[in-house]
Amino acid sequence: MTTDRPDPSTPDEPETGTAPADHAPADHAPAGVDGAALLRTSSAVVAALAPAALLVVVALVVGPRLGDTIARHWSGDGPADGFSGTWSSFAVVATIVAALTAVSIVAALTRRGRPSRLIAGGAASFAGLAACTWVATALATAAAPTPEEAVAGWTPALTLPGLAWGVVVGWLATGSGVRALPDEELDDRASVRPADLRPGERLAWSGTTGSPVFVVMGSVLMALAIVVGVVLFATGASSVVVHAAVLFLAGAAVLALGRVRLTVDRRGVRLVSALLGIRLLRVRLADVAGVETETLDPLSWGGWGLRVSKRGTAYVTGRRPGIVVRRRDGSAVAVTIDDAESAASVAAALAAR
Amino acid sequence: MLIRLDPASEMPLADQVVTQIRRGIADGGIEIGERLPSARDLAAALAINMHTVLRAYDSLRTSGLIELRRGRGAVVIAGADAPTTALYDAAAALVRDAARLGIAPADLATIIRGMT
Repeated sequence: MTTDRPDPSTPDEPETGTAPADHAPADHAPAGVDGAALLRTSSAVVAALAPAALLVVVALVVGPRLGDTIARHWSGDGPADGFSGTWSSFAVVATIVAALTAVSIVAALTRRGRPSRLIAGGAASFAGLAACTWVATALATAAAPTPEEAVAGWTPALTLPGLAWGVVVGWLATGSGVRALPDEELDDRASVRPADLRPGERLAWSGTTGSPVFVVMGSVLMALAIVVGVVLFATGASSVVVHAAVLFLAGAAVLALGRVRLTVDRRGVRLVSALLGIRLLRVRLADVAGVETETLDPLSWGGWGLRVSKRGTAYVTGRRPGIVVRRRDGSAVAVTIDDAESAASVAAALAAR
Repeated sequence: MLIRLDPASEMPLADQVVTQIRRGIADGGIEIGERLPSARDLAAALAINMHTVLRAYDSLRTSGLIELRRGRGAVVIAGADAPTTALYDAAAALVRDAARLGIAPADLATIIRGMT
């Protein structure tokens, strides 16, 4: 069931004599959250962050004692025979660890059972391995007067707990994300009754939504980028500051999703970042083919955040009620928002004008 | 929150904005702590002058309903008092009764205007 634009030959008349809307808004009271699953999922996320944290802490603590080069390779028990730039290697490893950590966290938050746990654990394993490898070379180099005299000693053993860390993350991840209990019926797609419009009347609907998760994640990434950037710059490795800049922009992009405003008016249905003022989504009124409300499931819309999936483009903060606007070309735009029915009824009415 | 403007109405546009936001606060559509759209954005949405919206926001600020802060925009700081809420509830009931008799809100408004 959808609310399509009415035939243009029937102009919208002010509705007289109609009974009050019998369109009862669906009950979207948030279901209880499984406390144990929440605890395990949060622990998995924290555990997944550990390799990145270890890397940063070691870089901050041991970094000042390191020179421009770091021992990288040993053959047998002797001193090192391979070297790389201290901070360029750190930047490369940090980028890899950050990417793997992100994969691990997203997998831990995803409800796909065993595959989620395997991906969360696997990514954390490689993140742990990468982080611990750099930590091991840094410790070995710092323990020696010069990188050329560095002896591997016990440090290669560090990579084992790093690799094993994935088991911890995989075990903590439930593969069920944070499941809401009880599992509500999802197929609640509903048509909307267009708002009553008088000729010439102007309507402006506006509402804000967001997610503290995006604010925290974005801020952490940007802070990390600044730390990495300052460290790199201070040590003269300015050529790899690009890595920090990319990390900073990624953080800004996540932060931009932290607080958004949905507006429905003569300009169409628009989603704008309330924090950065960037327009994220837009459907012009002339392009609107239909408007519906639906409980948006992150799994069917491609995940959390601003996502593109085969169902369309969506801003999703969780399994929450939202508005779905279908374009004439068949694509769709969806946004989780409070009072989605009212936003949808305004959009349907304006699009029908 | 929803704002409706009727350019054909005799009521000045700024007053209409004020009335609509007051109604939203009274019926719970706008909550305490909610941030209103920026004056520039609301003006663009309604195709009216930004100063009209600023005048409306200033009037709401004088009434103690919103707070205007540079950089933060307009934030709702007070809910409706009980008598105002009761009046809006009574008006909503009147609109429902009228609808049952086949009288549209616009016609009801004309009836009410004829009483003064």
